[in-house]
Amino acid sequence: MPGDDQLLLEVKNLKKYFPIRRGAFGTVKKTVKAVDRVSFFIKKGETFGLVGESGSGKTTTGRLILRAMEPTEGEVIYHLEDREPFDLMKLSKKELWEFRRYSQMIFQDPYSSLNPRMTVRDIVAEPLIATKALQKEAVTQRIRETAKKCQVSIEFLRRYPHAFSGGQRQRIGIARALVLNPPFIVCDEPVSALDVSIQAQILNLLNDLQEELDLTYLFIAHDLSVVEHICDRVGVMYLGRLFEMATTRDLFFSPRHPYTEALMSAIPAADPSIIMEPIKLTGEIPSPINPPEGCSFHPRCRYAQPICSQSIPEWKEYSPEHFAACHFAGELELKGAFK
Amino acid sequence: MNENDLIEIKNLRVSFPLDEGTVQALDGIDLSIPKGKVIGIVGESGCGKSITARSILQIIPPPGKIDQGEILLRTKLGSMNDDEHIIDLAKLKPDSDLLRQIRWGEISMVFQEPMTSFSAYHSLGDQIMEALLMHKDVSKEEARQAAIEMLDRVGIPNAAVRLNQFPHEFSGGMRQRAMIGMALICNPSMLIADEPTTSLDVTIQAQMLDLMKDLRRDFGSSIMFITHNLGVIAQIADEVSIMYLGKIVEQGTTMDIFHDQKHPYTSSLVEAIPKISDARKKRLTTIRGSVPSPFERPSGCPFHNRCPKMMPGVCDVKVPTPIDFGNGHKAACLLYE
Amino acid sequence: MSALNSTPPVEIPDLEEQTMDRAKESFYTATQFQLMWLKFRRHKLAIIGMFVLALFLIAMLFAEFLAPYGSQSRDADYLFGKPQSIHFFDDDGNFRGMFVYSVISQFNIDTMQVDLVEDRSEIRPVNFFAKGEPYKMWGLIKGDLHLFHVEDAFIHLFGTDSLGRDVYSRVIFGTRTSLSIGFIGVIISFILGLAIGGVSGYFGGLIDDIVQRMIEFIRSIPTLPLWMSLAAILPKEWSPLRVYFAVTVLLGFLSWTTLARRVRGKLISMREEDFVFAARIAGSSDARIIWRHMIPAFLSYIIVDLTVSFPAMILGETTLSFIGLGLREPVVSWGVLLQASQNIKAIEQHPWLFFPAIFVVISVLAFSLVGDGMRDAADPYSH
Repeated sequence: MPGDDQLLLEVKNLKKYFPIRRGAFGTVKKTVKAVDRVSFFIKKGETFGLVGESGSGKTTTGRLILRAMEPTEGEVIYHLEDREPFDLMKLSKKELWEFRRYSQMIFQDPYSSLNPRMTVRDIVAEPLIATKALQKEAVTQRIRETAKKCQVSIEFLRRYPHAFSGGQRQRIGIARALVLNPPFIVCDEPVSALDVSIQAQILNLLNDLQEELDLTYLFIAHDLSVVEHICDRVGVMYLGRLFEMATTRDLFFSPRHPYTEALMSAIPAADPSIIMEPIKLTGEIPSPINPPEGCSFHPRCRYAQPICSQSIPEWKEYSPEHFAACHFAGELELKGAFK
Repeated sequence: MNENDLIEIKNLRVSFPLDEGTVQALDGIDLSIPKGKVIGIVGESGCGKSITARSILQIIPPPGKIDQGEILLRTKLGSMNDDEHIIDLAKLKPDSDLLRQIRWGEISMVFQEPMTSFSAYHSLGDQIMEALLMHKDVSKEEARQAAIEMLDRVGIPNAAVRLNQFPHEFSGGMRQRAMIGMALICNPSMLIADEPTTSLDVTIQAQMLDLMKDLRRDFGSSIMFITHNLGVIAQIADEVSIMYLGKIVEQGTTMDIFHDQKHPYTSSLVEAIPKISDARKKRLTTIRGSVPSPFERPSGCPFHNRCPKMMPGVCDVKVPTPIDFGNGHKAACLLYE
Repeated sequence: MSALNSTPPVEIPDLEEQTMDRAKESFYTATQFQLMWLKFRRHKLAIIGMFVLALFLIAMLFAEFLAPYGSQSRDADYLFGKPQSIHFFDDDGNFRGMFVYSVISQFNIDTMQVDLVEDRSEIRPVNFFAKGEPYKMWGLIKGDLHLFHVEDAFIHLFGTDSLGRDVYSRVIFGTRTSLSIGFIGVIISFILGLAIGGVSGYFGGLIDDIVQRMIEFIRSIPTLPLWMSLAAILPKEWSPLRVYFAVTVLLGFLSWTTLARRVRGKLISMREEDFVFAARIAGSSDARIIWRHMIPAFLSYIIVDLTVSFPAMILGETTLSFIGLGLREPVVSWGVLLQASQNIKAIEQHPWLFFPAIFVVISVLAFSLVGDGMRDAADPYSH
């Protein structure tokens, strides 16, 4: 694990359990463990990817580390330039409000994430005004600068979102996230709703902005080719748990978790001369209300042994910065996506 | 019409007269679908790929209408002496008996979100059996048996029990399997799959692609596979048509499309997707701008205002016609004229 | 001079292109309500409905001017008189402008009954914008100008009632009463619905549960018996004006439930909207989120609901008054007027007493048409 000076944030044992309410007055019967005992870290200036299929808890994790929702348990320690390390979850309401200047979010859906009744200028200005980060006179100047950086033309500022296509809207969303100059951005599937040609534009823009502004990204996605392209390190989630975390190269070259291997094998290569040999996972992702005992992947795992259904595997570092939660992570020879 | 072709679409034009203006959704489509082949249709949003598919069955959402063109189908349905003959689907009335027989009997369809194509109020089995009972002369018991076999075939475990369950009791992947089963129950000669894997997770998507490959081998149906995902198309299609703003800009074998593109749009598209490789990361190739609004079709070649190889005075004036590069590889680009 | 010289040559773009761009730009910078209006305009029927409502509004505001007579003024010689016909040509076929003949009673020897016949001896021209019966508009402004008036005689476009009162004038005054009851009722239910629904949806939890059960209870009571019993509680000795207010408030208090549910549902779904979530992460306070994001988003839906609930108010008043539990003379409303046509005999012999019913139907239809158009326009961002 890297030293404190390299870290931007550390997530320790993060949990989010949703109660399932039933009946007229909502008696709690069961809980869904949307995020369960997740620990990872993000280094300054890197892009950390979080991948997983639907219901894996990656979006919830992204929201928790901004404390956009309250966790059931766990710590998120931020190491910001001008402040002592602090646990985000322990901040008071006012401190949390001040923290908003340090982190923002980019959303998946460029349509629903922009208020259609506000002009582009008002949308981009909202974080500035809500956090009272700037004097009134400076606001316009900052909006213009940010818009330019994000390739949003100044003339567009007086328009409403309905004037724009998905790609342009996504740029407006990025401008909103960047207007406070935060060091950290959570990108929640920022390109999955976009057309192929636009997706490339946005990925390049995110890359350029990172270099220019020294940003750190948490990049949540389900498209592994995109993740492989943009991320420095990647974490793989399944049913609320983190299964593996490594540098992108390590993960795609020599995964240590059988689920990662299956995921890699399922990526359809955009080249007809490469023939896909997907590993067949038996059955579907189990319901998060009744996750399997032991390792939650064991009913679908082709390497499963009796121990897998009995005890939850430990989250361990197997080689430098390569973590996995599998009883056999040290022994299995698994195939990556590079062929 | 070629002997091997099941469907031939000739100069198909579909428009949507809207209050804001008329949208030319399809602007002269020529496409043939050979028997037993998987034809991929690829394009970005608004290119008309779904409308092409829906035109075949005449289920274009209103106010869309076919203005011109032929959709020829080789079929035994509607023939006097049970021989194969050719009918023009574009000439049939959308509510005619013959077209109703062709839908599902001869050509069936799988949609992106199977939840909306199943009724929530009937069990899945009833709906699959209904499809069979409507088109084939079978008893209820036979239909039930066939439905169980089909669910089993598409990989739904415990088919006899699950037959009685309702669509919401199935997961997304299982529903999509059931949808494919329902689409194949009448043994159609063609299956139209409109973004069938888009809402699925990647591991489930891989299973679906596998299943479709198997089924095509076993049933010999042609498949028209519509998607925006180039990875998926590379893995499943035999031939690919690339569409842009209601036109087919390039068509050819999958190898042609991925390794020997002629149209600048095709090559930009293929280069724009991130590919997993050991090589050092580089910037992605982008296509400038975005797809124009359907109300503002560019003059000349519809792609000219985004094209890296645009020739001023030519591309913005002249409408390109498809040029044959041999072996069915065609591209509509003025670079070659 | 130097400043002038340094100005770069300005290229004047093609005028046609410029105007097209301006049209596009104005669409791109159009606010929510401008977009809604663009969408609403396409509904021809809704536009017609809107036009009709505008006429009703004028009638309501300027009843004294539009009605030739007061609501209680009598033409003692013309009881149960049928609508008078308007003439343009005299018996000799000469064009004489718009005029009426006076009506006189004549004893008919054959039938042994009094007949009302036109006195064709004298032409009574209809004068527009003429001085007539003095009035106090809204009880405040004195005046005597009327839209039309006949000197030394009466004009009864819709006939007269049992006491010889002009039905047309009474319908106009009735419009004022009936529509104002609608307006006030709608405003009351708007305030209640917004407040109760808002509290229920925003706070959720136990408050929400209690409010929801309360709404379900209110909605499960059959309306007509409820009105009847509530109206019966109103003391008989109350002045007609007090009854008028009581009925209005009553209607308002009973119709907020739909709106409250709507507001609650919208708030709950809006809490999950991405742009609301984005605003929260941006550091916006609850007040700012409600004010800047939520209220503008559902305001249009609420206006639609209000328009649609108007007819219910009008029909409610009409029903109550018709069965004698609502307003009473000397207050005139459509319902009060219709009381006169309660029996078969009235319909058979004096069908013109039914004119108020036509107004009720037209106004309800107009509100429904406008409501339909507005419902379509309420979300200008969907496709």
